Amino acid sequence: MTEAVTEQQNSQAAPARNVARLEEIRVRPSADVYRNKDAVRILIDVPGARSEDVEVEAHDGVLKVEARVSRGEELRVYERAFRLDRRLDASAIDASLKYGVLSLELPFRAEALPKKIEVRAS
Amino acid sequence: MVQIRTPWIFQEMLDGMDRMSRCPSWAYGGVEALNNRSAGSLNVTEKTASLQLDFPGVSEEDVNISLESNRIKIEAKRKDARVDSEDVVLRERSFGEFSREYKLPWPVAAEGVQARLEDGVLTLTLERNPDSAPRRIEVKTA
Repeated sequence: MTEAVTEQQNSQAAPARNVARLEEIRVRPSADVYRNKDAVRILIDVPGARSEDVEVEAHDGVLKVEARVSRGEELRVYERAFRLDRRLDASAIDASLKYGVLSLELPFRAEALPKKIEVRAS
Repeated sequence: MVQIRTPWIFQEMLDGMDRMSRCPSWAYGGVEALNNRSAGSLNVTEKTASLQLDFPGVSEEDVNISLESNRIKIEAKRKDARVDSEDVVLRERSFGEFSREYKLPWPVAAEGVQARLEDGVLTLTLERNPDSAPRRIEVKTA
């Protein structure tokens, strides 16, 4: 079975340093991905980020996370992207932030869950 | 383009070193490797000092700060985030204990220490013990 969540490789996700007025530093934050039978849970370290700094977007099977945090003279941009399996319901993502860790919960679609079919005796 | 691969044994050694200094990678937030500057920053002036450390996923009760003259020790613990019913798909965030001691050029005033943990960032502000400030001594004539 293929994994429900795979890392999306694109040029944007590669570390790059942009020199702007406020020194912009792009960071690939550490992430954990866990799964159980109902859902996939993604944890991403974004120290210093508040909920208004974080943007989570799911589009065309790609989940993009960006958090922009100003720290002193630098603007730290945390960026991560994941490719989502079709079995996951991207419209039902739940995102929360605690102690600088972003937590994303993605449930499997109801039709993707194993279903037991009862056999009737005729 | 030449690609340099790190042999796995080297990787393992680095991991061991990490454990020896008891500074797991989570305390750096992965920033250090990218821009060669630690996510922890210490600023010292003549009378004050401020220290910032990235502690994502650490709660207040898991941070311990102790002070002894001009040494300040910070200990923290990050718990495993996985629940028993879950399988691991990807694991980059390490967990465990962090311990680091900073030596300041002057003794710290115990009542002037302030620590705040906000959004996964620990900020410490320290003040110099006023008794230790250099004093000018007047030379009297007999």
